Amino acid sequence: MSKQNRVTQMFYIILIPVILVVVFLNSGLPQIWLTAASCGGERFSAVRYDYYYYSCYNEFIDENSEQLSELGYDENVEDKDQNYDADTTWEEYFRQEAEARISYAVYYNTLAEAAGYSFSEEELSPVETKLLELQADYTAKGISAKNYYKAYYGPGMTASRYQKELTYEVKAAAYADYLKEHTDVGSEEIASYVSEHGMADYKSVNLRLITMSAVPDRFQGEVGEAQLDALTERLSRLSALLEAKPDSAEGLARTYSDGANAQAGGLLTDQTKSSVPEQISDWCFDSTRGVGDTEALVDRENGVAYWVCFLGWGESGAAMEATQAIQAEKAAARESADLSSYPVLRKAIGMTVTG
Amino acid sequence: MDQNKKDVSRRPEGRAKEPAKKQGFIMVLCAAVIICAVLLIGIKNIVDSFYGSFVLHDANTSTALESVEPFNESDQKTELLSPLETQWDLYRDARLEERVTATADDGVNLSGLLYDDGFPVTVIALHGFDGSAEGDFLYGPFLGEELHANLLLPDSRDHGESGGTCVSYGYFESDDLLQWVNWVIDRYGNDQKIVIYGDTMGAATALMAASRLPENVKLIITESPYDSLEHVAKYELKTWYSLPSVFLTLLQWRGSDEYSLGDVVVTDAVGSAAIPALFLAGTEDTYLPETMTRAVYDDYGGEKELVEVDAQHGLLYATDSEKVESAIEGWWSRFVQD
Repeated sequence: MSKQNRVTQMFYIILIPVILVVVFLNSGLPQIWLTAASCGGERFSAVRYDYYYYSCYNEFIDENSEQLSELGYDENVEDKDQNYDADTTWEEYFRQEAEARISYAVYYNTLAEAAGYSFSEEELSPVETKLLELQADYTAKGISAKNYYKAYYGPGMTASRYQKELTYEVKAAAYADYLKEHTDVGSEEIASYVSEHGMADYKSVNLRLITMSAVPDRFQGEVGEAQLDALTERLSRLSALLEAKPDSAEGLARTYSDGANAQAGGLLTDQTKSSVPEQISDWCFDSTRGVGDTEALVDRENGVAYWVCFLGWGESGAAMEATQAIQAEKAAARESADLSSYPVLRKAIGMTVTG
Repeated sequence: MDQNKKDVSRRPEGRAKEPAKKQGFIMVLCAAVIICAVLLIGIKNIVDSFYGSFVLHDANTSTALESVEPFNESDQKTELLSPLETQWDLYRDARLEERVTATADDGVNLSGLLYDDGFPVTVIALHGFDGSAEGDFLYGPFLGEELHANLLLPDSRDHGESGGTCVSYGYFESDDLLQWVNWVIDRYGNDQKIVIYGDTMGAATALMAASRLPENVKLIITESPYDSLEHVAKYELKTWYSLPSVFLTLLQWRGSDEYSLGDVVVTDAVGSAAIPALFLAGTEDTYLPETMTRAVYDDYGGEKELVEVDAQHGLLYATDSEKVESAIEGWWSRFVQD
């Protein structure tokens, strides 16, 4: 064979396999075939692991987007190259969070399967909600679904794989709720809880509450007098609107309230004195309070404004609160004990492919 | 010896060279193909980057804009802008911000923010490229509190929470503006007076719509509009990307399915406009030179004034708020106030 023939052959022998390897690595197949981790006998491929890792990562970014630098996170640096704390990189932090979710999901899915539990449409509805939310996001960004899932949830992720894993996780959360709500609580336990927590004369109230927070100065990062004055003016405008159109309170609460009850139209039912903001608790539990009474005030010390409407006295009082609290304690204790039996075991090669 | 018998042990010299020539040619051809592919990929990446950033307005926009000086942060800019930004924050924080929606003629969902103080005048403020309703509208406190106007800040299509898949620099946006004007009239009634403010792309949008706006629109205030998209693209390619205008041909060839560079000519649209217009231009503007604003001003058909401020792009109000406010107040009292 002449020297030139050999050179030509070497050129093709090296080039073609390199091309094939590059194509293979970019196809997403390694992410599906290789095992990244296992938990409770369940195999998690790199794609499945990526779902949990990137879900934790994306939720962290969404929730903390305005204070990433304060939290010590730099989006322009690889996660493995920056530290969450002295012993842990950010990559390790997200892995730990992801693995906690994996353990939780495997644990409750295992229990549900063993119990032959059937999930209702309502329990699985968060899957559809989340998929629609992502669809709205990639539509707004002008990206195809295929590219979106790959970009945000790792190579190899597709809409169907995402949906499958999301359903797995939603089922776990639904079964956890079911177990908590069906945890038996005896009357003696309730009585003991009520006694220990001084709930004997417990009353509860139904309210519509709108909460608004002062916006910190963008340069100082603090709430000063100017920001508190702006908040006071905003509350005043809201109060004027509510006075002019009392029936609009539910809609206005959804639009303007910062509180966790905003989507419920500001509605809070069976609220005890300890669950209502301290700034308005005396007003709410005043025995002379009548249905339709309203109050608006600004807590300048904490930079929060409240508008509250009294809707009436609650019915369940101490027993329900005590029952819910005991159920939550028992569920937490069981989970804490059992989850240790569902550790996530990492596999080296699959872990390299992930992230 | 048989002279006809050929000596096959000795090959003629000519035949031995042919296989080597052929293989050498193939190697050169492969190398040429690879080099051409690399060049084409490189050129394609540049065109894709420019197109993706400025037409499709994709996630790489901030990276693209980092190379454009007027968008760079500087201590001087921060010092100029921060007092106005603080005022805007306080204006916005003292109000109930309402997210409102409209639908464009072509079905695109449009979204915006409304600050409703119940005034008989509403300012529709159109942001520039890569802006949004959530961004800073530094004129807001002046127009809202001192001149007593409600503020409507639309998200331009393919910006903020509005839909749309490409930016058309005023071509479709001018139609969208008509929808917003109608929205304001529906909301407040036919007696509502409207003022349009536009910044660069927003200014071009307002001017391209000027001849089609209803009587409710009493005044247009434009800051640094451009005269044509082709002119802007050539200028940007040369000034900020150091590329010759021949690359403009690639952009035009690539083109959007929905419009072409040649469709956006602001100077062609303003000749028949009759609404009074105040033009603000920065004499030190290197992003969109003042000559572009002047070209539009010269062709504008309605009553007009050009106010020049010795300032860079986007810093007119921050540099000389007294001059700008005085100009606006003058036109406001003539055409907006009762």
